[in-house]
Amino acid sequence: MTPQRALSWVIILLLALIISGVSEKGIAAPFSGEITVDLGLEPESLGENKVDGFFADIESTVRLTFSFSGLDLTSLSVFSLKGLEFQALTLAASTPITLRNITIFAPNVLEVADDLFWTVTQANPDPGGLVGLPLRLFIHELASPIDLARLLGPSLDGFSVFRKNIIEAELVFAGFLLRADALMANTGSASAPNLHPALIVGLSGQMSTGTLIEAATYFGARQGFQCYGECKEPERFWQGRVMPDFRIEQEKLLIRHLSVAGLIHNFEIVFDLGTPLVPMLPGISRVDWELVAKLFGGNLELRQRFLFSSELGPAQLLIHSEFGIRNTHLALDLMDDDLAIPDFPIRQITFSTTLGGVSVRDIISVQPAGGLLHAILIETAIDIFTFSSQTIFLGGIVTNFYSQRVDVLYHLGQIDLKMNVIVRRDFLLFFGVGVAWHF
Amino acid sequence: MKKILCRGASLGFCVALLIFLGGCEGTFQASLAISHSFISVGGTGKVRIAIVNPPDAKTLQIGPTGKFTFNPAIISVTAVKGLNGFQVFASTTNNVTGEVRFAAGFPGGSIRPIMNMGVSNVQIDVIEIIVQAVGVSGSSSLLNITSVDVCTDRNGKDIIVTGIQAGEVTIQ
Repeated sequence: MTPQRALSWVIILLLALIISGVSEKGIAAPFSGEITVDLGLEPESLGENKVDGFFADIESTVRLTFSFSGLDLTSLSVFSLKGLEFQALTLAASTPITLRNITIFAPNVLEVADDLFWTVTQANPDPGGLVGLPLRLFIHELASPIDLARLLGPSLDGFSVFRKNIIEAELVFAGFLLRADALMANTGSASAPNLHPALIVGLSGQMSTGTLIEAATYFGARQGFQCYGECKEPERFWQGRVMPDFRIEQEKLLIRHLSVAGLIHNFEIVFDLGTPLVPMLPGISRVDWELVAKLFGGNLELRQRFLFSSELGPAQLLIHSEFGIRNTHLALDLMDDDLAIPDFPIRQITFSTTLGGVSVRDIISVQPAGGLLHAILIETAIDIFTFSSQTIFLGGIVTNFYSQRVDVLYHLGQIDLKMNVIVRRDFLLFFGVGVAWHF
Repeated sequence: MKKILCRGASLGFCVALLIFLGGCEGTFQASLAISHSFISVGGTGKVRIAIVNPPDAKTLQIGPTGKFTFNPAIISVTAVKGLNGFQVFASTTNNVTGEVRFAAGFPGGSIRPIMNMGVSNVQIDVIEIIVQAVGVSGSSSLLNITSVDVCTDRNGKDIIVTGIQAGEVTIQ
């Protein structure tokens, strides 16, 4: 264990001792937060009947908020076997102007596009092959969490350096909400920093009919996110991904809850004003138009969505149709992956329902070359237990069993205990346990 | 407690039934799909080879027996590279006979479908071949793979490749 790793674990233990001591003495009012520790195991000899050893991943998250004089100071630290892999310090104030400053330190940084599969557009350091990867391949539920640790682990060998500063400001003025996010990102290294400024300015207002209109301009940034460490949820920041030059990149217009002829319209359009990406529609990189009709007192719901995207790669069009009666919904997705080659195959059928506190979602995904995936997702909460199950068949509807995942969460006052197991058809892929203490 | 046991047992029964119905034996079956591409006269373009229904696929080798074939009078191949974590360890290209052979894999990882709550992807691109047009406008070259020498999952077990969907490059 390196001195940096040892120091990281000493800091965790000290924080735990300080917080527990303060809590017992009853003077913990200004402090709140949580500490989580997760252990993940993957057998070394996958596919063998006997398990001789495990690959292990231990991760701990410490979130501590100190409130004083109307200010909240929050520290979020993520530790792994590599040491401190992520540190964010947040200072928030609720004055007439709501202000929040977030400063992030990490050994690595990933810029990720807001496309269907979260494509990595930039990585530093990049041990090889990170740029162009669909991050969803490693983050979603079919992967082992250790796959993600293994993928990004080599980029965490260095020391944490300043990665980003985010200043968020909100001001309510004459019925409008003015919002500004100022970003300063370092996509370089400790020895050769590469700083990029960016600014996202937005103005929104709500009409008396409930319609919300918002416009945002992206200077030096595009829609997407940056993430750090192992790119897990608290390590992702969605204010935008920075671009090399500080110039207008995108203009976003949002309209929500616009009621026309009994239909509710939700509309989002993103205009491309900066780096040319050869979009199908000149100057437009995204159009998301959703129509919702609620009939018979809301018991019957019809939803139609058109999503055009040309952020990266070929222009795509997704058409989503959904029909719902109370808690039961049936959805059909059509998708053309490349509008240059017109084709509209059925891509996904989803059935979901909730019965007696048990929610079931059944998804059948197909692709023209013979791709077939059937997923059955079941979730239920019984008293202090929460169960979820994911059963996957690959290449067949109820044949070709591929994977089974079970998650169990047990709430015990301030303590949450959790367990995850992922089993492939003939081997154990992952076993994880975790504990979270909220205070 | 009785309610917990009943619901837990029901859930467990459903899961067990599904696994039983699906069966737990046998070798996974997947297929390969080669993309279609349009390129301008004298220009360059990309064609991609995808694994369809990839059950944690880790290696793909075309050659020495199998080969990726194209019409050398229409296109020439300038590069072969990996995608989505796959790396090409070795490749040979013959632009006279129109053949490419390669060995590729994902060091320290494997690929599987991407399951989103939105739209899933059951077909993952693993190889990208850069081609240059040498034919005239309107001509096209069929792209095919004669056979797969090696395709294995993360445990080194064989994945049976049951089909190969041919692709095509058209010169515009």
